[in-house]
Amino acid sequence: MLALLTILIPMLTTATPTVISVIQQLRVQGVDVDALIAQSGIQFSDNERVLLAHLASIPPA
Amino acid sequence: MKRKIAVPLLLIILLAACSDLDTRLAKFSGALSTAIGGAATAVIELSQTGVITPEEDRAITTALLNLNTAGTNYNNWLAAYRAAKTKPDMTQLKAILGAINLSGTDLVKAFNVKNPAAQQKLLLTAQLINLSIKLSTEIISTIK
Repeated sequence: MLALLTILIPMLTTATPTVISVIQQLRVQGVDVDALIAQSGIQFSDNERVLLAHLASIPPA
Repeated sequence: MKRKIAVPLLLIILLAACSDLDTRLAKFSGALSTAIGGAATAVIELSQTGVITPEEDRAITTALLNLNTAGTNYNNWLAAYRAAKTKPDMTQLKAILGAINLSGTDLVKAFNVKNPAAQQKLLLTAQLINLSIKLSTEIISTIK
């Protein structure tokens, strides 16, 4: 868990396609990414939180 | 929904356009955040009703995230500007505003979706983003 957060925290501070694909992969693997983000105490802007959640919900091409 | 977003945003933009640089800098932050929030709401609505393709949805949302990141960089600069006792780094501000211009322009391009009804729904949001871009250009021209 700690190792995962160590990787995620620096990545989640900037919204890049890499971050998004990592989040999507983690969700596919059954990881509760939202809970992890909440536990990490990272403060996302409202816009970013909404957009990241929406992007992860778009079906793959 | 459109009126809820458009009226306060237009007021912010009008106030910002008539103010000194410090006030403009603060108002711009609010205008951009509101425009991005409005765009996010619009794209999610269009996505849920299935009138835009997943590819269009992904392009718009990614462009929005990029603009949001540029906006966050701007907010961080603004916080440092307010806290600084020395002269702020205006070159950095120009670069940040330039990034907002570029990502905003990319977003407006991504709004060119196939479905005419969806395109129409995105028109107001595109205009609001364009106003924010215009405001950032005006701020850039003010900086010496």
